[in-house]
Order: sequence, then structure tokens, then C-alpha cells
Amino acid sequence: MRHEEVREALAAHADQLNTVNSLSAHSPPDRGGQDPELGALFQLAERVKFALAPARPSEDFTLKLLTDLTEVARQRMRRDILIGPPKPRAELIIGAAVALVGGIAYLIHSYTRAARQVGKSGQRAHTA
Amino acid sequence: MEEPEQLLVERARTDPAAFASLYKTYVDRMYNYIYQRTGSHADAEDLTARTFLRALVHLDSFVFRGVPFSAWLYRIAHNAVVNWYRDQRRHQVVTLDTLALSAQESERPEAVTQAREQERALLGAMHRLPAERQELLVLKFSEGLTNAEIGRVMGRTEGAIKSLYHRTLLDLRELLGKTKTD
Repeated sequence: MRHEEVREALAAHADQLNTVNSLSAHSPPDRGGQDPELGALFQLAERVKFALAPARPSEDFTLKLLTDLTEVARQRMRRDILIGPPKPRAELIIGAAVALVGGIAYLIHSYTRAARQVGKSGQRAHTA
Repeated sequence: MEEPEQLLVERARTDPAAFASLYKTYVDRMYNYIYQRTGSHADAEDLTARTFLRALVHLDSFVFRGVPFSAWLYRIAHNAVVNWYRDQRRHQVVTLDTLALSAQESERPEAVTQAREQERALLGAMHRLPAERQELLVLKFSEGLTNAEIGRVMGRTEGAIKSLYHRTLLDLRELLGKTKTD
């Protein structure tokens, strides 16, 4: 049997096992005419399914955890209301301040240069 | 009519009652998943509580992008189990002790049958499998998920899950064979 065929057969068998409500170890499904290698893997899968019978938590535990989680959720909600909407991050404030200072420096530099040029041209006109 | 899960998750970010509803939907599944991985009811309770607490704290980071909420929860539970093994420095076979000393058997030691011995050997071999293979078996057989659903939880394709399942059964058979010869 090809690898892909075995893979698909095993997957289909596992799906079939999950649709069966109760698996009895004493009445394995009919495997007449199957590859013995595949049959052995089917049997192993059935044993795994049987061994992994679902476990349920106790009612006391689930109720207590529900109470605890609800309280934590309420506390978080109250805290979020007290804190209010998110404030701008410090990095953004610093970045904006640096940009502002840079802008002001550029403007001062530009105005100073323009004023010098005006001054020089005024001097030239005056000496001429 | 039942509220779609996506809306319920969004509402749970600000509404404790909505989170409680999600909890009620998934608590049994998460508990079972963790129990099958640890083999201990006490640890399953502890890790189930951690899983839901973490889900509550990080709910804002969950975004619906084709991955269902249950897959996200399973990932949190899986990480909790992995951390548990690491923190406790427990080897996976240790949980066998817990399995071997189930309450029923300790009360009635004569009731230990050959079938029970075989089941114990099987559980022991399963706990010696790599973590992802144990996870696959639990999700498939104890949780009853389809290959596509398991793929979403484990971040793999359906085909990859089928191949992994095939390899897992082969490895398990080999481990059982070794147990018999030891």
C-alpha cells in the first residue's frame, strides 16, 4: 500500500472513531480483507482513543474559577474607566518637541540669513 | 439566536458577562486538554485557571484572522503545559505515577486487570512521544477535533497533520514494542 493511501486511510479511520459515541474494546470494527499492517495501526488508534477518554473538571472548581475570573474582569474594567483613554506616549511627545525645536531653529537660521543678505545689499547700495 | 463568537469576543473585552459566557463554552475542553497532557487533576486545575486568566489579560491582542478563538485558547493552554514541564523540570513519564495511582485502583488494588495494565503501558508510551505528537493525539481523540481544526491550532496544513498522525502511530507502536522488550 502506498504511503499516501495509508495516510488517508488512517485519517478516515480516526474521523470515523470520533463519530462513534462509545467505543467498546471488546467489539473492534470489522477489518475483513484489510492490509494487516494497516489493521494493526487501526487497532492501536482505537486503543489510544479508548485511553484518552475525556476528563471533566469538578463543578466546584469551574464555579470558583468563574467567580474569580469575573471579579478580575470587573477590576480591569473599573481600572480602565479610571485611567481613561490612552495618553500619548512619551516617545511621541519627545519626538514632537525635537521637531518643534528643529523647526524653530530652521526658521531663525533662515530669517538671520535673509536679514544678513538684506544688510549686505543695503551696505553695497550705500557704498555705491 | 446565539451570538456569533466574534461579537462575543469583542464584547468580552469590556463586559465580564461576555467573558463568562466564553469561559463556560470552553472550560471543559481546556481542562480536558491540559489533563490529558499532564495526567494530574490538580495540575489541570491550576493550568486551566492560568490559561483563562492569561486569555482575559491578553484578550485585546486577539484578532480574528481566520483562526478561531478556540485555537487561540488551545495555544495558550499548550504554552502553559510547556512552561509547566520546564518550570517543574518534570519529565513526561513522571505523570505515569499519577496515572498508576488512580483513586479507584488504590482503593481496590485487586481490580487492576490486564486490560488496565495495557492501557497504562499505552499511556506511558504516549507520554514519551514528543510534545507535538502528544498534542495531536489529545486534540484528535480526546477533544474530537477534525484534521483541519487541529491544523489551525498547531499552525499546519491538513495534509501535514495527516502525515504527522501516521508517523505518530508508527512511533507509538515502536515505543510500545520497546516497553514489552524492556
